[in-house]
Amino acid sequence: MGRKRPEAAVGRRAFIRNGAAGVGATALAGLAPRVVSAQETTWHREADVVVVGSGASGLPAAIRARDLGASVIVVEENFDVGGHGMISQGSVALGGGTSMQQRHGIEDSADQVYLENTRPDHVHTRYNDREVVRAFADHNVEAFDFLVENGVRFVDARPHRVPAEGAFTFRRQTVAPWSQDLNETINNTAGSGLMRALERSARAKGVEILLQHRMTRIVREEPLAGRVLGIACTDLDGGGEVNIRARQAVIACTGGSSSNLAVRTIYNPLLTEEYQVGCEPYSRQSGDAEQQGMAIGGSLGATNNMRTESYLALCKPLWIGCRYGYDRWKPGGPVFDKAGASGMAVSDYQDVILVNMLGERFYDETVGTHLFAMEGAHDPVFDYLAAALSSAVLEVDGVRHRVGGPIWAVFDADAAVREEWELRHPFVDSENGYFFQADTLEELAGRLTENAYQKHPMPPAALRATVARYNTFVDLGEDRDFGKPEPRYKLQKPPFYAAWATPILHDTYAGLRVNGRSQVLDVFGAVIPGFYCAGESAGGFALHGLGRAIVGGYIAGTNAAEEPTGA
Amino acid sequence: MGPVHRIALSLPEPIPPEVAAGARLALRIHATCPHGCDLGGLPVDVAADGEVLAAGELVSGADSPAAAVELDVPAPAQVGEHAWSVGFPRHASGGAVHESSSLTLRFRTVPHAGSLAVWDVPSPTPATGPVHVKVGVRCAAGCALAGRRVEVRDEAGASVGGGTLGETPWPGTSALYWASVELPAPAAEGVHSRTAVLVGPDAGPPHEAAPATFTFRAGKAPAHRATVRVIDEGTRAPVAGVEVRIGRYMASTDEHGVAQVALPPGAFEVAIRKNGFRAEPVRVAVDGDVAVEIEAATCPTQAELNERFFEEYPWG
Repeated sequence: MGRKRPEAAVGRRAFIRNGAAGVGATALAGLAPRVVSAQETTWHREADVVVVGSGASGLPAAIRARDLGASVIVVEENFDVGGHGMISQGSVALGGGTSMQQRHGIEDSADQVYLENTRPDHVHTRYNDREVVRAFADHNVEAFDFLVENGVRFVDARPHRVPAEGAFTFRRQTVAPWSQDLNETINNTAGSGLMRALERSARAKGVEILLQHRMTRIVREEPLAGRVLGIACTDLDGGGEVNIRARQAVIACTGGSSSNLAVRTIYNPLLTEEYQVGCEPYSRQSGDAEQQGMAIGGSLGATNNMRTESYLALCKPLWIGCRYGYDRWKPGGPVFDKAGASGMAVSDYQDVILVNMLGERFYDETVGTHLFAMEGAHDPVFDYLAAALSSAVLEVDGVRHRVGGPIWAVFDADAAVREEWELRHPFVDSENGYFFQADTLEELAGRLTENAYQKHPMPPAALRATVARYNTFVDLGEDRDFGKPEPRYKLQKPPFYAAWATPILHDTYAGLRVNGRSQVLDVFGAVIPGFYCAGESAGGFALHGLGRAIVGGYIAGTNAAEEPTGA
Repeated sequence: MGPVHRIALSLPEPIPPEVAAGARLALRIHATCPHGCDLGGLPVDVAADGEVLAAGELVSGADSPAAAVELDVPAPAQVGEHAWSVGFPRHASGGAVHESSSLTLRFRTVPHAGSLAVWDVPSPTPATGPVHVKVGVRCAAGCALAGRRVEVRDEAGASVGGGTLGETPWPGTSALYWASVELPAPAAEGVHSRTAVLVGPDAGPPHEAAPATFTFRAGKAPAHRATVRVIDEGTRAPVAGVEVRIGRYMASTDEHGVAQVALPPGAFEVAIRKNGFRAEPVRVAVDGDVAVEIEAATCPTQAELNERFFEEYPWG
């Protein structure tokens, strides 16, 4: 079932350096909707239910609607199915008394799931929409059984409990890996065990999946009124516009909006273009559902869930010296040419200093033993991330602005030896400006503008002064600026290096406002007939992981199939 | 006499106001006759104080009325204000006379930008005996700086050491020329500051580099020796390449798993570091030579831990 990745339209360097304009990057403009009336639309394809996206929401939605008798077309912008689910570890957080929980003696209930996800005293449950969570809780067991019936094989072991998710008492399930084939799994992650099983089931049941089709517009009877009638797509493989009529409903499952600068900065204006996104460059959190949904009158919901301390929305990179430092992209995989490099793990942050785009330290580098702010603003790494997002003060026309910008890990030749780093491709990405080497610190600072996001030159004297001051802290045995515990190593031996270490965006916790049936609501709170949304593009429910996506898709598929068939 | 045409000379890319002394400038010169005459093959030159620095023949423009030539001209090696004259000599042909014409170019030559690095600064360093450091200089233009002098000055600005940059750049660098510099030990314990500077005399283009200030800690004179042996807890084999830290003092184990550190008397914590190994720190009291054996247990490397990060914690 693995797909051969089509030849890229642009080279790797162009793909990555294009930044905001790149195919897989954070496009500010997005797809501006053309105003085309329903009467003007020529339908090229037709199905009862049209699902946008083939990830952990889209495929369950499609299969469920098909099971209930609807004909289903799925459109997917990528060259393969699965979305973020494909790159996940396949850990499906479903509770409420699933058969797996029962077999391992774990007592749980739908009420328990509901209560844990509506706690007013927890950072990632306090703003959740009660109706949405109630629906989620009531469908956990059904959704688990649905996965099993559709070929998903779970590891038969006592399910895990994620300690960091302090709100939860039930334990999660783990899906068995599907394959060790890089192309089959995309990056040797167990998420393929979930997504390939669902793909196989969907195809076997007659769901049609159109790869490399990107939704460009949602067609409603009137621009801001009436039923949703279908979607317009662009065939990214050169097939032009494809309009697909949905006789019953459109279900938008486009995976959240972290990759979409225009949408993510609605929630948090600090999330500017420089931040990389987890699971890119395989799948984007495109924001298509949010943008196109808003264009036909849809409302956003529970936007406060996307504040900075939303625990899995932002993290320190696991891998530095490359653009995509959340997953370790493996050479030989189908998207490695876009990833550029695998990156390097930092075994001890005593070996590097982290500086902002102006060459200034801004926080204790050693903070962040677990990369995410699991406990929100109470977690030390939250303070690090909050500092990183506004670490630099730029003076423009006499006015000072506090901004984010790239974060660089700066180190010397001795540090590279201590860390046992191999400073070459495929471990670091020099070609695209995510890793630099220079004879002196001044030369290093001068080179950084080769990075597309280093918009302002790093003052060479500033970097030198920062390092000299830090080296003195090593002599003193104390960091008098940021309290790094016993700074241990000087940065002194040439060559000097700078590796991209900018924070990473991950989950989307806000999106189109939906009700408990996964129907999208407009800005007045009314249902938009025939329009559903599930997964990370649906607002109202901040819960990390596959469980929310799967259950939301299952609910949407169930209700979409019950919609009246349009004339 | 036929009609007289006045030639217009121009540079499509103006000469920068500041140019590194001795740098070579590629001057693209355009010459245009307002009457559309083809100036291809006619000479132009660049001169200073009457001396021709470069000359060439114009080439007819394919898509432009201007004929053009690119001349490679060395900027003066001396720092200061300069004026060059682009000259087109009088020429008569086809019944027309092209008047001589000139264009004056004014610019300033500045020193080459350099930058310094100071490394292998021992810290703590004994309060007795000399301190050896390395000082390197890189020219932004990549000049070979062998033979240039560097100097190290104390907090009062007095020279306390110096050296001559060697012939070969520091390994791993492209053009960092370096010297080993011996410095006298400071008289007192504590953190001391020194400043390395690039000094003359300059043979060739002048260079300017911001001074590089560095610090080091002067400690008590070592009176004892600690011998630390690191072995693999499981195989009992010695572990080489382990960083051994005894307080602020550091050394690496050799192929026998042994590191030796000279220490003053005192109580210290002994810790090790090597990717893939771990051991709890131990405390030692040093009032004579001591020997410490550390059994290090193997553990996953950070890269391995990162790889397992998502597998062992079911994030999603």
